[in-house]
Amino acid sequence: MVWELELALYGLLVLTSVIALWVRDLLAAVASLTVYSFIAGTLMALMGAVDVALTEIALGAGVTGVMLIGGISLMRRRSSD
Amino acid sequence: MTDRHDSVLLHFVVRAVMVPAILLFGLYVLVHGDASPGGGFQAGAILAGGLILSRLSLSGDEGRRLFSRPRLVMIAVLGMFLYAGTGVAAMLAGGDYLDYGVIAFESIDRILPIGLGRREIGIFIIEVGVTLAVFGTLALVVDYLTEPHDPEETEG
Repeated sequence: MVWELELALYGLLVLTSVIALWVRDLLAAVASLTVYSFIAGTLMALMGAVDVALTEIALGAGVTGVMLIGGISLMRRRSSD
Repeated sequence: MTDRHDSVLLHFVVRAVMVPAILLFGLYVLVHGDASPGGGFQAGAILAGGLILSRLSLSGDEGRRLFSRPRLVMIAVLGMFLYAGTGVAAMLAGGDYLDYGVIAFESIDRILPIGLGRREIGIFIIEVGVTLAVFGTLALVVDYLTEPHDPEETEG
């Protein structure tokens, strides 16, 4: 496998997770988590686990984002800490 | 968040390009689930994603006519009964639970000659059940989470 691509994807994975924890705006955190799920799914596809990658991208990047945004729309938008 | 956006391009891309492609890919994942990556759960998640995408693009009433909440509950329960019913039918035919190799699926093959064995038809019925259950449940959860509400009520 192309190890440079994998290394860049791992770096982006860490970056998106740190951004999701760091930003105050919860909507931005959800967007960052969606990108995290997509990169995680891509990494799983690169490792040969296409089954897991399908689930990760369909659920983690698709449905969970909509669910979290629906949850945010029910409450205040900024985190309290 | 269920307000309709007025962009024509967005509606064209979502309705004419993305949603049909996603739904077709979901069916592909379901039908080829036994021979390639995929299966019931993935197909259900992909189909539910397509439905949710079209529902977010359409206005509230328009997108909810075909798959209303009672219908989604019925779909989910039907999927569960397909799964459990196949297992119980295997027990009635003399095998263990979900041992669908003992069910006489040849009668299906006589109506629709596709040349599949007993176990292939059995696993396909199981997969359809899982797909329906996952599709109905996920769409229902998102439906309840994104229902219109008064934002002033929960503010502060």
